[in-house]
Amino acid sequence: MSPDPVSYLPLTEPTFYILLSLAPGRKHGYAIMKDVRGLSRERVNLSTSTLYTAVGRLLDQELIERLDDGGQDPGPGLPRKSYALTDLGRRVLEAEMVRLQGMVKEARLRLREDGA
Amino acid sequence: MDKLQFLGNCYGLFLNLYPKTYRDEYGEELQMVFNLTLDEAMKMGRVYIASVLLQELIGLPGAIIHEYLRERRKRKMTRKFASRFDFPQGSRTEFLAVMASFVIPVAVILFVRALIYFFGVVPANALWLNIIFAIFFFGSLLGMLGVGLAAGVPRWFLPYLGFMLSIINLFTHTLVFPPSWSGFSFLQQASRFIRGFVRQGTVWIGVIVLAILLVLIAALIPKFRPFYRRLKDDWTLLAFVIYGAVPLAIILTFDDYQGEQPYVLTANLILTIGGWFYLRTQLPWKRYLILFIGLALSMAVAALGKAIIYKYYWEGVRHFTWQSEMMSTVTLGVWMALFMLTTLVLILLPQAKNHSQISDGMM
Repeated sequence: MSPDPVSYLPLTEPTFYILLSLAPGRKHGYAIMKDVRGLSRERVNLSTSTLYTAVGRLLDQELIERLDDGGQDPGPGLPRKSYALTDLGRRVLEAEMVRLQGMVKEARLRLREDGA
Repeated sequence: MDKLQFLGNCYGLFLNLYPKTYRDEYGEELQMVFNLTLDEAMKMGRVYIASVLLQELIGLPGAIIHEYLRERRKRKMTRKFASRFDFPQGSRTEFLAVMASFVIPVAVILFVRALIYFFGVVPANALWLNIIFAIFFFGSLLGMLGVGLAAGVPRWFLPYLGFMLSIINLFTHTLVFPPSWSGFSFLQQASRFIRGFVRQGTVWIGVIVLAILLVLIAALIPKFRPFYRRLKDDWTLLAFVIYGAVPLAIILTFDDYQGEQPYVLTANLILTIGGWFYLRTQLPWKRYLILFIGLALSMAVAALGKAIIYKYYWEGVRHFTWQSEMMSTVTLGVWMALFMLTTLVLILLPQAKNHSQISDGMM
């Protein structure tokens, strides 16, 4: 009962890493930011404002959801809201992974042909 | 004031450049994340601090412009003409809009029927009047459909939607079951009550089928997904749509009757009062209960009206008894109640987990 995940592809690099960062479980904005930097080996360095612009767009597209911490104190200085992948978000991420795998496979074949 | 606090305050000032709604929703979070980023950069040295600040300075203008454009897009979708019809919840204007949905269609239909009655049986001039009023009637319904959709399917619009579903249902029913259809063959041996019950159900089952179709469309088309989300979050809304189908059902239960106007109007008045209580009640289960009470009372008035009219005008003249006529309306009420109960299935759908969506898009 949800849109076709393929219609969201291709994902931009920051979007891909944000979704990937949320794949294991919910995270706060700051944790996403750090994780994206780590996952991309420092290539994608999001500022606070660009992170939240991306997060806003992903919320609109229903790929992620914003969650309350249910009255629990997340710790000093940490935001009380966190973000999690929706089912649609997970399916979009999987579809992107399949797309990237296909591209890599094709590239490998072609490069092998050229090399041979 | 230490360096961190100073830079944090400066960032806080920049946040004032964001649109107010965005700031209210995300301002605190942005500030906290910036403070944490800066805190970490401070441990790593001046270069990192400069890098963080530079990054923010580069990213901020684009992000602010983006949010303003998004706000504008949202406003463009819902404001202008449509926003005039997006009445505050529980307000008098919202109630008046709902009241009109119950009163106007009934008034128009009764007026047309009264004119036909006044001019005699299908004379040419009454036929013309009939056509004019049909155009007026469907024209206003389509107009309401346009306004309701443009305004983002507000609550007051839901009974109109129900009324439209009931009309579409009748058209489709006539296509599927021709007038010569005499009921399901496997029910030939069944009692008259069972046959009547099933027949009544087949006439109106399209209302719930169309309502389910509506939910599916809302779920599948991204533009309508905010409406789907609203239906999931407030499961009484779909029951309110079905409630809007009741006025036409009441009018048609008096098919072939004369002098039914006081009963039809009273029944619709009860539905309107039910609508008023529904709009002003907070708890979902109470709202749900109110719809059932409104339905039950209006159907009771209709059933009683049929019994009275039948007993005084047609007793012994027609094949059926006043009891069976009354029972057909009770059966209709039971079917409508069952359809409203079916909407409870929305509770079983996965709920949005307390996410405070900022954008409700079109709806």
